[in-house]
Amino acid sequence: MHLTIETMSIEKAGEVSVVLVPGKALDASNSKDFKAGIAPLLTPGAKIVLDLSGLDFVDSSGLGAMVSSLRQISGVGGDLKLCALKKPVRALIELVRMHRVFEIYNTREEALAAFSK
Amino acid sequence: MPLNTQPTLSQKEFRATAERLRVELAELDGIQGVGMELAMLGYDSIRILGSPGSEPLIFEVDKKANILLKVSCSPSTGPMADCIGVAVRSLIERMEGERREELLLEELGSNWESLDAIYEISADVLRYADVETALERLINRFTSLQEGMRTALFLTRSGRLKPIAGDATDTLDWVDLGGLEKPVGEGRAIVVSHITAETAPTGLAPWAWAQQVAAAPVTARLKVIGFLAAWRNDHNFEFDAPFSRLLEAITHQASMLLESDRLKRTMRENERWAQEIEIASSIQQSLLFGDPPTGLARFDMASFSAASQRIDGDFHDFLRHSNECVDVLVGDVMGKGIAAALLGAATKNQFLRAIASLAIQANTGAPSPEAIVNRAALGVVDQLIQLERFVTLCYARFDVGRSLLEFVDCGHTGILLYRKQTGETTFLRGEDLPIGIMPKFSCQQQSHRMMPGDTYLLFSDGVTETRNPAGDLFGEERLVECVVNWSSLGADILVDQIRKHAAAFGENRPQADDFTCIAVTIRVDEGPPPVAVWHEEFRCDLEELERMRRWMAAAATGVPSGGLGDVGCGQLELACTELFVNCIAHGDTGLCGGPIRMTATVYQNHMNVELRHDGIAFDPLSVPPPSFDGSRDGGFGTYIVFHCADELSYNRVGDTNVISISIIRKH
Repeated sequence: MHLTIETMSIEKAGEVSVVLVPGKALDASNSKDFKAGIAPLLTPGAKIVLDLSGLDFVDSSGLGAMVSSLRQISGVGGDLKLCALKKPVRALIELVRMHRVFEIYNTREEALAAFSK
Repeated sequence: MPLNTQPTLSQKEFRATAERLRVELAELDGIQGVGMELAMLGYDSIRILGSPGSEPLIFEVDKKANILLKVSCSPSTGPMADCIGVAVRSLIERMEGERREELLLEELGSNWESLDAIYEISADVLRYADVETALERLINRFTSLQEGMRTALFLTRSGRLKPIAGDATDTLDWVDLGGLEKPVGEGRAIVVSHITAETAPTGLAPWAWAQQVAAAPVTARLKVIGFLAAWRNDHNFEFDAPFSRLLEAITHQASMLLESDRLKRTMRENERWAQEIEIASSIQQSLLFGDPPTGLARFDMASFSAASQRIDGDFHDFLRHSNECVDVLVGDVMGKGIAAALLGAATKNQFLRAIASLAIQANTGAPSPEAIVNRAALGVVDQLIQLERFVTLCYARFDVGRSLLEFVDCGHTGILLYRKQTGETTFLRGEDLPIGIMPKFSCQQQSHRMMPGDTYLLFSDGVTETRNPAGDLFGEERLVECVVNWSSLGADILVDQIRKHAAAFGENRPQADDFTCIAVTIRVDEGPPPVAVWHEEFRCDLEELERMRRWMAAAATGVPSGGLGDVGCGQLELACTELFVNCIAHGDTGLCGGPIRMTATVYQNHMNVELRHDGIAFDPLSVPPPSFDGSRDGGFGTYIVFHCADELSYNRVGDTNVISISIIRKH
């Protein structure tokens, strides 16, 4: 599925942007679209929650796109957290030890609550 | 006026000068009957007599200011005295200058002759390979330079001075040298012109009755190891300074010959030693390091051993009981070098004897690892204790028929297990002491359930104790990382990668300890013939990814008894996606465009997928590991494949990359 800023569902919860990644897979076929789609949100001080509840599959390209987003937003004083990972996605993130890099929450609410602390 | 004790000219030389002075004065001034007498030695004063009966003119020489002072004269001879004084001073200066020039020329001439002689003698003696002949030749040539001179070369042997060449027969002690002992012993050359009672040698010295003797030390590596003495019995000859230097040059030549001989012998000894080490190293390779069995369907085994000193105390061997049961012995003798290697050989021999004798006694199957180690230890423990050595070892039996690992670990490093099916790593260790610590040895066997895809690593402490220049250890953590990263590529590549990573960590400096590494991977049991084989072609396009995964999932459902399981399916999907994307990435150079051909072979408990694609050669080992701190977002693909695959192989057939991956059922 092609990802654009239009196809990505973005909700505002206070000052936090919650991005629901559409489709079932984030892989080499759409990771560039994802990066382009999320780029406008990576502004100084921005707070973003990536809701991955719809994703059944993420490969190294998709993971790389998320790591790139985290690195960019951290560089301008913002933050990005992940939530609602399905088992295969969490397995991949743990395999490459990115659970030490991302803040990961079970639900969207937990992620938002973490921003308000 | 005090006697000048250090005249510039000797008494003999002064006489000659004075004689000349008188003649020249007479010629210069036309004064008849001018006489001269020596008031004091060394020009301190000169009395010049006028005509018989007249008063003498007395001049004193101030040698420091080089001024001739008139001390007294009769008034009538005043002007004449001034004139004579100037003339005398002028003459003295001229004659001293001439004398200095003569001496200089004489010395230069002597030196030239000496240098010429030394060069000729040196060139001559170098023709002799045997040092004793060369020394004898050197001394003979030196002796022939002066008629009437006798010489002897002595070298220290067992604390005494043994005559090596020349005119001496008796062995001397240093005290026999008399006045020569101290200066020669201190490394200085000495000329004794008049031998006195105080400086006289004992009667054993061949120059005991000589009129004069000169000696110079022979040295080796800053130590006096002997000396060369030259002596004469005639009264009318003196060993002068040039001779002394010639003597020193000859002894230096003797020192060089001896040192050269020592170096040659050392080199020969080193060459001989290196040859023996080479032979011993080959023996160690063939006797102490057994080769892993090949052609076993259920095992993938590889070993690597390197001694820190070419030959050392590590040893290992493999014993195949059947195609499904293999024993691995790995040991390390405390210490290094040939002694350790011999003990390693003896210990290994005891194991072979123990296995043979126990097998004959039992007559049914293989004796247990515990029984083998106890029996082998019995044959070697007393000798080890006597030699104050000990052996650490691990004896492991891999029995895939019973899915059982049985091992005895006697103070060795344990066995590192990487279980692919769960991703867990464990160090399996025993609690037994090394052999040679206690007289009564007894060990206990440990057991562990094996699973297909398991990788077991037996290693010596030289692996984990490899140090970098900062002194940090390679350690177990880095070893585990290597095993986790590379085990799916096979045992050969795994041990090679461990060796390379440890060497890189130590910055390729010579290893301090023996390095032994044995990898045993339990291959997936293909079991009965495949239940299904699927073929499909995909365009070399990212748009095909989703279709490929659907095809793959459908094939995986064909694995009996519930498919590959959630974990297995997830690994298959992920690994194949990464490989598929990699094919596309390597097709960008132009060779791509053709399809990616995939074959999925479904077995009872696992699935094998093969990808074939024309493209540039891809070496998975060349891919650097990813960064795990989030600093880079690339480089995870190959790492993911290595970790998902239970078995992985890469081949290049013509222009085609052929990658094969196996995934075992996991829930």
